[in-house]
Amino acid sequence: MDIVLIGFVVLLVLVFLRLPIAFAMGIVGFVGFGYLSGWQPSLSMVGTLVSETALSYGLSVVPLFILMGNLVSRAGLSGELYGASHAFLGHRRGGLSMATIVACGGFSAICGSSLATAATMSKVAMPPMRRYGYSDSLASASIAAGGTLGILIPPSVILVIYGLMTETSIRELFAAGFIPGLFGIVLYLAAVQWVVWRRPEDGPRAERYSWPERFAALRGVWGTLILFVLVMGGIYGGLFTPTEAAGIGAGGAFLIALARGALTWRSLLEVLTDSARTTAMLFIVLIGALIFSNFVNRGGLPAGLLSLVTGYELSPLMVIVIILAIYLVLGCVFESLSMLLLTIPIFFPVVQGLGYAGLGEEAILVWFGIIAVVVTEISLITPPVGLNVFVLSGVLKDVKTSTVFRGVTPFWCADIVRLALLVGIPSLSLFLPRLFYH
Amino acid sequence: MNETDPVDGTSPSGRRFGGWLTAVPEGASSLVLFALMAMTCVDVIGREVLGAPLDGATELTQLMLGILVFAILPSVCLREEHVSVDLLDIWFPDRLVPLRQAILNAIMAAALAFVAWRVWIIGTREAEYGDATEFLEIQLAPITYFIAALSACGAVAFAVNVARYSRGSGSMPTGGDDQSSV
Repeated sequence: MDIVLIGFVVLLVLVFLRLPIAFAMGIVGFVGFGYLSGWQPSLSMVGTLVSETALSYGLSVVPLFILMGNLVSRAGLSGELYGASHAFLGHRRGGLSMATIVACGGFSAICGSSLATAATMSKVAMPPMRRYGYSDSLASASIAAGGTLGILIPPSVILVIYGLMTETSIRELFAAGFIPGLFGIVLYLAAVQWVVWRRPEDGPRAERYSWPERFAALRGVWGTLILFVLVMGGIYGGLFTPTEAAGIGAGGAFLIALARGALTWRSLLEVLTDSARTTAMLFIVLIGALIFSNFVNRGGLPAGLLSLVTGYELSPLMVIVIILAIYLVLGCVFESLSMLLLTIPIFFPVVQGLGYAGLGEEAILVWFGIIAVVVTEISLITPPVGLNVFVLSGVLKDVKTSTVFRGVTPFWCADIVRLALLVGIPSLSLFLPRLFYH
Repeated sequence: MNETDPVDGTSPSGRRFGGWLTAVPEGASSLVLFALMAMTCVDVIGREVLGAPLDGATELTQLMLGILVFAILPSVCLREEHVSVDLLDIWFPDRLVPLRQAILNAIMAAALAFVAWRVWIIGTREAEYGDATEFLEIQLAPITYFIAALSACGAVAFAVNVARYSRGSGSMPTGGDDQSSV
């Protein structure tokens, strides 16, 4: 177990020296595994892992979901989504912020990426909020926070990665993410309410739409709705495998983008290359993480941690709280994907055997996946490296990062409340998977 | 995603080499991704609507996945788009950045070359035993050789970066915003 700790320290040093995380994990994992089990096994482990991961059917869901998300962003569906929620919510105080949150939620239901959600929504949601005199802090924070919904509301690329690393059913993870995602929207809406209750001038009312106008605005969202029902309905209903659903989703998004005239040969090629590129980055990181994970397991770190837990007679809840505290601290330093990939190999065996709240091994992994993703969401808006905030200040050149971070605080608090509820009531996450699959 | 010219500042020949190394497989990767999407749709529609599934779609999916991921790898390497932690960049002295990047790229070149070697060995074993997919009986060895070869190209791309940085003509990629867009 000592060797694993040394390995972990070396890993952190390499990572902070800016060695890409995939290579840091791969190299430390290879050397550590070789030290523990001999070089020949370590050599063959690397070769086998690379060739098997490259040809794994389960992973084919990744490029297709990424492609779907990129096509959907390109198709400009975000404008209609925002228009519809604007028509329903805009006349309330802080209504445009709420409309932004709801539109982000809707967009993330067809796009698995938080950064894409934040970047896309900022283009459609920021100008109207400015026009109606919303404060920059509330306006930008609602986009940054709303964007984090992208990685929880299925389809979610991060949940797929988690599922592959822990061998948890992706179907069940997707089912489990749904209610916590809706819950996130509701709590964010409450956060907006709280802000405009404290400072009404931050979010003035816009004019009220009549019901016929509202229904007219809804007409623009049918494409999104159909795509979501098709993809998630197909997965939940057991009609397709997640890979097939992702393929159908990408195909549907392609047709929508085509029908809307949003694609030229050039932009199609760009979308395809971008998607392939992101996929390759994820694969390399995943392979590195798997190599590292083999080393960690071989070195008995999870077992060591488990005996530590039993030795100190920590209650399962205590362990979860400690893990979450570690995540929140790491979230201030690490970018979300790196954080998950670094920690999942270490934490998931501990959590698996924890027997928290009487959950079985499979159920607890599904539940922990949701918890881990929610913590990751929080890290996306936590200073100093909350990535969504940086994406936003990159897109909106005249809004300072500090302004966004200030505005984001109520949303951050809402996230913490949600996290506490999800930890306290595992059924919130596990209700749908149980309903569908057990 | 990455708007800057990744091989900015290189000599024309270096740029041409880098371009040739990456552009062709990059295009292939995009094509395969599009084909994968189309094939999945055809398979599902065929099965659910027409009752005629595409035989061996699962196997084709696996092979296409391997091709699409590794074909784009050299380009990802050349642009240094791997996820990394840039938290300490503010404190890192600017004049040492090229040196650091040269060292890091050298490490990564070695690592990928190593991967290429190990995967190639698996390929030779598959060729020896004539390993093939179960249903379509497609030989696995060529695919594995392809993965090994493209990993080697990735290693070369890293080596090109080393040369670029050690001539002092390299600029850091923009990084940060485009990493890990999940």
